[in-house]
Amino acid sequence: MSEFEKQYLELQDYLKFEDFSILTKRIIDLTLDTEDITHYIKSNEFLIWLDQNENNSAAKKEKYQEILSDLYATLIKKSIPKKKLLVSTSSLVKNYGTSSFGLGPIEMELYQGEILGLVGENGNGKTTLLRCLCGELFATSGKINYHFKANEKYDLRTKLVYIPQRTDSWYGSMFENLQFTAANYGYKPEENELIVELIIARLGLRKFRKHSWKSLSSGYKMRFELARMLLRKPEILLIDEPLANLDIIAQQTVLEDFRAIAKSPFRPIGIVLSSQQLYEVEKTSDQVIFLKQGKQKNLHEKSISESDNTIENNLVIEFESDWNQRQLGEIFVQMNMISLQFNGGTYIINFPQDVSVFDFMKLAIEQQIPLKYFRNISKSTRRFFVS
Amino acid sequence: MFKNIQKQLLIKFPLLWNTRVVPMTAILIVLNLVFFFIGWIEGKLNFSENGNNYYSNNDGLVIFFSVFISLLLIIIWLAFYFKNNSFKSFYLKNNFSLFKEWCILLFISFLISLFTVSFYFGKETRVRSYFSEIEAIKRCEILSKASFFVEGSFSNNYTNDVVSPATIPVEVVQVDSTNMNAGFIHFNGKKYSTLSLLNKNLNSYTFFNYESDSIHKKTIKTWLVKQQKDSIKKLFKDYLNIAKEHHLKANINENEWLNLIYNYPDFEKFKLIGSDQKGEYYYADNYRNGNVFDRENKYVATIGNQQYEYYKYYVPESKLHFNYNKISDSWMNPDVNFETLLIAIYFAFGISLLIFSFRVTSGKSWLISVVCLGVLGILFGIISIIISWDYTFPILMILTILFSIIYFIITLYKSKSKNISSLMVNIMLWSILGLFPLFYFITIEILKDISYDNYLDYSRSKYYPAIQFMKENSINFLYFNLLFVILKMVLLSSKIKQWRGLAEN
Repeated sequence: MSEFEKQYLELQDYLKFEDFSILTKRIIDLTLDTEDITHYIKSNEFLIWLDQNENNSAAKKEKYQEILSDLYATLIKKSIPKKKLLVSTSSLVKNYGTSSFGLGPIEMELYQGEILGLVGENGNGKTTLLRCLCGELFATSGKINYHFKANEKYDLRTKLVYIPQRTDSWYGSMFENLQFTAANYGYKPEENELIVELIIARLGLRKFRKHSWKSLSSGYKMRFELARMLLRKPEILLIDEPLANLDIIAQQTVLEDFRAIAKSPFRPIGIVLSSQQLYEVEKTSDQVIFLKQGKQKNLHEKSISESDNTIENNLVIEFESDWNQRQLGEIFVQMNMISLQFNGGTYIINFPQDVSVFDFMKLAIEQQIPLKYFRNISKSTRRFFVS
Repeated sequence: MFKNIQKQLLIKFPLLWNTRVVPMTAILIVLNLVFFFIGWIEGKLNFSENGNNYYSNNDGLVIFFSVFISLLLIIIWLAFYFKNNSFKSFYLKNNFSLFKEWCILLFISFLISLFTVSFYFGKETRVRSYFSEIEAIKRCEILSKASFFVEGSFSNNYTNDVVSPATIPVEVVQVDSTNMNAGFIHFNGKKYSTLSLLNKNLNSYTFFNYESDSIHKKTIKTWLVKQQKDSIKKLFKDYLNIAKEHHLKANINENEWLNLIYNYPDFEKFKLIGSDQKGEYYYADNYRNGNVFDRENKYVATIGNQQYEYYKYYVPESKLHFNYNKISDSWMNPDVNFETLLIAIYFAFGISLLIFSFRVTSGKSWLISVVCLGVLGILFGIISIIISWDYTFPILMILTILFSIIYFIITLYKSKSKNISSLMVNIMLWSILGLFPLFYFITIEILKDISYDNYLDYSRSKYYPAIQFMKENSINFLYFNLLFVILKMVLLSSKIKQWRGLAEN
């Protein structure tokens, strides 16, 4: 079963459970995958129909099925390209003159369809790495190898879309701006408006197409940047702190959008995003790089030294309890606890690698420890933050 | 309509949409036509005038408004144009995209620079529209010849033309000549007083050169000495008909005119025919400077308590000469010509390069470049004063420009970061127009200096032909320079695209 067929089955489930919101987005994704104006027209007509039949559930289901089948018939014939390596770095180092801060050495690889999360505290080099990858900063030493064709550096940078945390203002109507981008990227005049309409709908921006930049919240500004990025068909999207200033629901929506965009079977791209929302980023990303004072720590990296290996495989639990450190320590010492730290409201407890999370839960239940929250962070970069 | 055109351009030709070339062209054509029509109105000839009336001359006001409107339009246009910058956003571009963009900027800048030109062109077109060139030449010839018989200066030329020895004995006289000191002239083998009508000058027009004026004079003199009164009378009749056509008055007819001036054979005694002085006041100066009042040709009129003198016989010569001179100039020396057009073209190139440099670098580096150049200018000025050598300043400027070019090339070659190369890009673009002319004119000055070092009169120097050639062809060179600029921009724009891809500092 191809990746497309798997995704199609997922869409059928959305339809079955009448999850129309996400289904609409995915239908637009599939429409864009067709690269066929007939489907652009049909999908736009469908969106207009949806606006007028918001509450007609039965007819909606039928209409959704109809358009899904139509798209399936076209896309099943389309070949799915093999995922290629997009960029790799070898010993990438960036220093800022006399400043004591230095990024790297960084070793990384990013493939089509992958999301790479960059996490770390402020001032630890996330933005520097993103700017190096997009060509805005040059590496002091080491190499960044792009594995796609570009005649010169300008052409290369057209394929790397970098969205900084503070983006430049757009002037004029949002819709016109997007049409301008589409026209620059070779969309035919007859498909220009259709494709912009689809992308605007894809990112939930239909109400805001005539708005001015200043009247938009930072979340919607970021979505317009994403809409523009989709029109630019980049190889890699580099985005700095996309979750900042977003509420939790918006964060999840945006991350889901990233996943859908990156993992399109027909038009996969690589995404590198930086964030401090560890849990959300880890959920979405295929790989995570933790940066501390510019140094790289991979979540799943193979350690060289014996001692590192021990630390890497320890069981690390973060939990919240009303009990004090002494009470907890007396109980968990039975499980060969290595350390118990109080970290501003939560406890971080470290066990040897032969202790499992179930052992921890079992003991907690037996001792009736009042747990308000707990999370196994052994496989999370959260570990790096609290260590 | 513009909205629909812009909508179509947005999806078909985004660069044309972004530069707003269509609405700007339409607005600028209309405005240029407006200036042309203002010029057309201003160009109307007033045949009752005999000199420039500076009170009713609106040229200064029109030029002020043309500059003001140009600046206003540039600001409004840039506000729209700068809304989108696909180059800054790293949108897809081919190697000629930037050049095309600059060409559009140049086109709009050119139309913006043309307001004053359109105004003067309108003025001249109006003046030319009075008569065809052939008709204007014919009329000017009549006016010029007839002016011979109107009050005016006498010739002080020593030699008019060579007389054929076959008709005049060599021992009598060899050339027609005037000798003011001796108090006589020679014409056609005869001596005449320098105060003879035969020694009179005529009013010239730019249609005619020295030779044709001489031929006209000789024709008239020949009519006089050969008693061809009918030819003279016809000339007067034609002259008076022209005057009548423009509703200008003379108080003599052709017969009276002829009688007043024709005094064969020595033409010494003749009445002065003045210009129409209606509405003008000339103080009677019969006691001034010991002059005796010319009661024969003038009369005194008392207006109020003041005495004024006027010619007894007059034709509207000064008014006709003033207006037909304008007509003649409009054909022969138009204000709008290849030289004056060059000012507008260079202005347009300058404006387009300033905007282009802002577009491809950034506002910040553009301003820093302005400040840097200002500081360098002051510094070079001080150095020039200290060194006291004429070429210090231009040579330092040339070195600065060359440095900016070399720095840019090295930055591109190293392909690492831009460093301060955005300043160099600005300096390169701003100097692209002036670099060759700077070389050209410095070369002329250096050649002149070398020549002066060796000869008191540089025209005897071996470099003189080269200097003259360069001077005579300076306008052609300045036009060729524009071609060079265009060619340089083809290359530079693609290199700037390459440079844009480099990392920032």
